[in-house]
Amino acid sequence: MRRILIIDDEEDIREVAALSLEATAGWEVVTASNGADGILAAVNSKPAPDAILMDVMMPEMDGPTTFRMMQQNPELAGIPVLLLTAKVQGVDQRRFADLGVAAVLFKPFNPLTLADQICEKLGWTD
Amino acid sequence: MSFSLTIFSVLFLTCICLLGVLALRLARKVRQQQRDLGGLSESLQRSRENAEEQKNRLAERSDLDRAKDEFISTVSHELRTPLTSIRGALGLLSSGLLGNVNTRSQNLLRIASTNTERLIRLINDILDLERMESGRSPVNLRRCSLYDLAREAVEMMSALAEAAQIRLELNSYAAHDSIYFDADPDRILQVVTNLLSNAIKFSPEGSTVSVEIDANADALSLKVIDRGRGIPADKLECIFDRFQQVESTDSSKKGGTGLGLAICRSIIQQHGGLIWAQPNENWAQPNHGNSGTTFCVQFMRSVRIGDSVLPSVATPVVERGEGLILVCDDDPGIRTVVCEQLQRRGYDVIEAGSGEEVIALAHEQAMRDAPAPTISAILLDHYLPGLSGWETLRQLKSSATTAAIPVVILSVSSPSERPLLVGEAQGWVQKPYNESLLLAELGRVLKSKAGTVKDGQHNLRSSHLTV
Repeated sequence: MRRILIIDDEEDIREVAALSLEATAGWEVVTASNGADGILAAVNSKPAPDAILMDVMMPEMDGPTTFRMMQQNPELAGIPVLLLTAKVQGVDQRRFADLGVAAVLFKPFNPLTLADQICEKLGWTD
Repeated sequence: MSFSLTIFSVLFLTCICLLGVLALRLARKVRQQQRDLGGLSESLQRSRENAEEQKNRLAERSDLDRAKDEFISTVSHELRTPLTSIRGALGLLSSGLLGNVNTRSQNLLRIASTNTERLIRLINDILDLERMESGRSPVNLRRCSLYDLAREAVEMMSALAEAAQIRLELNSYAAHDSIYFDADPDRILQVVTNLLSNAIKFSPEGSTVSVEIDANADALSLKVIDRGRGIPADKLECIFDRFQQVESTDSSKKGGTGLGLAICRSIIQQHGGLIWAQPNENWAQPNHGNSGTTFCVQFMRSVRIGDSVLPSVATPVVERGEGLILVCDDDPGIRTVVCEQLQRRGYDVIEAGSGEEVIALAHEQAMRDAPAPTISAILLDHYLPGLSGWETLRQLKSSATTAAIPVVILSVSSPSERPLLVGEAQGWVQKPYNESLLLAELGRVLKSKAGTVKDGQHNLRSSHLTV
């Protein structure tokens, strides 16, 4: 069973995304409401998450900053990170892609296909 | 002795007088020169101030543009965030994944879901249109086959067509190697799928929607022909305006955003092409009841010779300009900005502040000796004090000397807000205008003046530009 960590400051979005992945793919979901908690959750998660789905605009530490910190942590650097963002403009997309994240997904996502999208981006065949 | 003394004193006095006069003249001249110099420095100062003012005005404009962009980007983000929760919750509930709900609740969930999707499309379309019109969505030109793009669009829409019981067909009347052109494939695909989606929505069950491709030495064309209810003649133009639909209830019934055709038009104009709607020609089944509509898209060839299958380096849509453009607007601020933009692109410009001035300058320039440049095109404001834009246009067109100069109207109103008179203006740019579209429209008009556009009627009907 896959384990996914969702990091988003909006509680409603965390809940909907978690429910979506649990109900459509049967994955196990862990959530965190900010970048710092996200890093802690990722480190403490046993087993480690298979992927991290993270918001971009978060107070204090945004998605890109959190991502860079994760990359410096040898325990976390290997976990694929997908950014989930409401910033859909071309410039933002290029900026995110340049960070080196595994993929950028857009809000509002379709709750019935979110898991499929993650599988497709990460090349998962399950 | 006294005689010679007298003569000497007379001569001496004369000399003194002459010297005095000379000194006076010299002094006057110096004063004059001082005055002239003062005037010169004053006018230098004035022109420096003007340049400063122009620079400030341009800076103000780009500040405003930036503020607007930021605002739209923020609004879009802020709307998307709550929509994410709504879409997610409704989608999961109505899917039945979380357990069954009764039929009435299911119906309400479906209504909420459908309208959420519509709201998301609307936000996406607004953002899309805004990006294009602010020039922040440049087209990425590549060598593409119009036929391949049309086939891809037909494939993409086949599920929708099947669900509506509509047959899709694709015909090409063009030679295989004549359908290559420089375009942004994603954008063209967006246009064709949009036209197909409209055609499917408005076609009766069991009918056929056809896509036709054709090409000649000057242009490539694509037509989407439906057998729907048809579009009244007075709506053929304005359906390309934002939120304009034939029936006011169409957007809620058909699920459209009212922006699809406006987006199509922006995309086609970014490609220097034309798009228009017309009633079907020679409809073979008169008893069918519905005459249907043909949406036509035309792309001018940027490279006319040596069009081959081989990919070539894409040429920019707005090429470097050449020629003398007469810019007329009674607002000196707009004049300054327009002239600045044209000059940056390589055009020479002359300015006029009134219709009377336009007529005079156009004649004057035409009467000059051969080496003097003739006016290549006139950008004419619609609302002018004194001689109105229309009257100016009429006078230009009725004089043999100036009739051949193409005129692009620069107006706050949409071209659909006035009756079309054949033979008038060759182009239309709506204010507030966008630089790249203004340049594209001017380029198109200059190109068609050079004799590439053959279909005069369609050229006129669709040559307007709303930005």
